[in-house]
Amino acid sequence: MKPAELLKLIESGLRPEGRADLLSVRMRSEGVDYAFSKGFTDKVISRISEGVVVVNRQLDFARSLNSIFYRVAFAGVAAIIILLISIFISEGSLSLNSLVGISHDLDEGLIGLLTVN
Amino acid sequence: MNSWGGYGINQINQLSNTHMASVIYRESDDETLIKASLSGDRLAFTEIVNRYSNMVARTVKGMIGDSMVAEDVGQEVFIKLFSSLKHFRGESKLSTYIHRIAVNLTLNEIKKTKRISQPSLSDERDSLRQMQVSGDDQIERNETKELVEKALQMLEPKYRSVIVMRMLHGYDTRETAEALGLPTGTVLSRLSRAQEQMRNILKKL
Repeated sequence: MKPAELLKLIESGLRPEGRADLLSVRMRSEGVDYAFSKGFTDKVISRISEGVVVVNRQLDFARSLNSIFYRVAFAGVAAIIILLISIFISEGSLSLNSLVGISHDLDEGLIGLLTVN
Repeated sequence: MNSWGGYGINQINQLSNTHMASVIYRESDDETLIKASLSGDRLAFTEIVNRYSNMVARTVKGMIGDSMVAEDVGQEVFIKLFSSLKHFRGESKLSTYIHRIAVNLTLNEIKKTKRISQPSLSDERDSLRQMQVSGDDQIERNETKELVEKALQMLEPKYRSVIVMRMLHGYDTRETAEALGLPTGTVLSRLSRAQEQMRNILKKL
């Protein structure tokens, strides 16, 4: 098809009221059509599968990191609770002085603490 | 004996199930395929790719040209579709959704390669003169394809997408607007400018 003929054909189909469906059919009959190469679908699926494997590995890593965090957090909370119980048993209260370990000193002033002995 | 021709009975069952599934999926609607793909059924997504690969090829190759880059962009379209399928709410047709992905990725690719110099008009004229030698029908068809491709490559990308939708997909103005995610008025104005540009390009060719 010569450029002038092609132009006429395209112009007829590209007008707003023109029949674009007829233009596309004519274009296809003139050999103007596209398709992907053979094995395109397989390539897409294998690339997706590779991606899914990578994502799954990343997810596994995130999950294991998450479980480690929970274990450490639980152990920490348990240790704090045990510590508080032991302080309560030995000191008889959970006041600030008991927690800091100065509940037995009568003089609570800083100078008293430093000069009591 | 539980094997036949090197295959175990489970493998044979699996193969026949795979075949059955692909036959069933070939006749399924898009919604079924999407649901099955989301539940991890690879065959369902394979059917989506098979169903829409020609449509994507027309969009991508129509805008970029018949090249390896277009093949890569085509693959990217379906990979992007796979990763964003869970966000697809079904408000539009799957074909429209795929069209938008294809057009956006193609426009991105064109932007990326914009620095590469475009062929000049004189080069186009020379190569076309060389082509116009044989009267054979197949060669003439190839010439027409090449002529269209070259003219499209010389259009501005935003006009190219409108022309591709009309000329290669046969969409009317409303369908083009839907596929490109543009208002109808914008499509009409782009169409008019695209026509003007196409006229100038083809006259020079």
